[in-house]
Amino acid sequence: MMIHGQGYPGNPDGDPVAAWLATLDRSVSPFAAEGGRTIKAHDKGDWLFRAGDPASHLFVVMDGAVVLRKVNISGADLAVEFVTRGGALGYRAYVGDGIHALSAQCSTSCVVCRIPVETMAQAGDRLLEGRFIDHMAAELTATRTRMLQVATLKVRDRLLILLARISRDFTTMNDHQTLVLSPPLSRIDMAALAGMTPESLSRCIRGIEEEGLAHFTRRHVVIPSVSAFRAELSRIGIEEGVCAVELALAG
Amino acid sequence: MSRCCDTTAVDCGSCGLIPKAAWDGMPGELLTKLAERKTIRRLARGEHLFHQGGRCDALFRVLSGVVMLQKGDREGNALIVQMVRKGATIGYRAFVRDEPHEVSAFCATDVVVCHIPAHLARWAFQQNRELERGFATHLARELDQTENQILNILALTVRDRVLVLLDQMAEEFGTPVGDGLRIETPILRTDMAAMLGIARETMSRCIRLIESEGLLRFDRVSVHAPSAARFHEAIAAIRGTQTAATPDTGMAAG
Repeated sequence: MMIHGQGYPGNPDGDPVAAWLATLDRSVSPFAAEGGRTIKAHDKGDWLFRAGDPASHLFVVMDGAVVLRKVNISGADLAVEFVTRGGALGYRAYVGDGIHALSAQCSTSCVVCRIPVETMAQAGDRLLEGRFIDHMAAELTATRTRMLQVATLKVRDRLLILLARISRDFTTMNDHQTLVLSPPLSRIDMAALAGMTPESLSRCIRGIEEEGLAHFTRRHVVIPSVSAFRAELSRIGIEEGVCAVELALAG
Repeated sequence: MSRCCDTTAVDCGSCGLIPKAAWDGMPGELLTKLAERKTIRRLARGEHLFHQGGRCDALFRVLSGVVMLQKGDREGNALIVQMVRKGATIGYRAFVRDEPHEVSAFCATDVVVCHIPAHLARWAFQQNRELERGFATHLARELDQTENQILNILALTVRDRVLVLLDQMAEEFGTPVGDGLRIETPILRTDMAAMLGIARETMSRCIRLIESEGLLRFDRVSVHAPSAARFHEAIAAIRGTQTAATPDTGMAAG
């Protein structure tokens, strides 16, 4: 059983999925059959959309994790973000030129709420659109912070920050001393999201294991001392909001 | 110190942020109120529109010049996360989130902006949804652009990042000179280094390397490519097989 953090930036006061559903039911249900939305389960590896596809739906992730990928200047397809429970997808293309610039792939089995763009446009609900805009603004904050981290922090420190973020939604077990994480990401995606090559990630993992800060298996990451991990994050100087270990413990 | 100009010098209905047709059918009061309460401000190079941590009390649309958005952390590190050019909007991110600004905005050149008080923007957005979508579109582009910059930092050598940045500047500040190209760089080298996430010393080494290749010559305020064709070949080589790039438009959300 995952312990879901309650601190999602788009909705700090409550369950983000419940809040989305309440808004959707009020905004789009009167305008279409089946409430104007469908909830669909996806297997790991499924694509919600690919770069270049026309935007046909907006999406809200209700469970699981979706990785956003983008082709870089050299043609490599790299993870640029991952979206978890309560996160939204597709609004950028909806408000832009109607074509997705990113690809969205389920990195775990997922449950996703889909809203057709026609329903969205017909509903014309400012509150609903405001939720998508708010999510996009939060994403810009996170992306700028990541850009600063990529430019100024060591790769090891960036990996620790990524683990802290993963702990928000993918802590499978914890007590007062130990956290067990089940990262929803492949090692290649983790490397891209922490701003390094897969080779650097392997070296980084060895270094962190030698320090005793975390132990990595194929499916899990064990943090044996939450206080030591938290102290390292504090030393790196990341803002408290980024460190979600407290949230996982509270859950 | 910023100076106000004629507040009606730029007509909201034709400023281009949203299609002119989107103003049709809007209450006349909307245009009148916007025209009366927005102000056109001139700022000198080096002046700030706002500081990181400051309250968001206005939105801005850049009418001319270049504004830099700089983000710092508690350790004293700072990075220019965006170069904002004519046509862009600034401040909408903090406005939407109802948060303090997460970046500082300072003028890299003399700048003219349209200053829209936040309370006026809130009222105007309720009257005209297209207007808010115009700002939201800029926010989306800004997000795309920031992602691209991260990918560039990760994928490219320092030399290549410098060349790509100069190529982006050439779109607006480049002038053909014979077979060559002159780029009037709107920002200082220290600012360029900060945009690329590199130290000034690294920037200096990189400039020497590029000059030794005969690709570009740098002086205090401009960069000259003796052969525009060679410069564009170098950029094409860096871009390789890129197929899904998002154009950098200078849009910024603040």
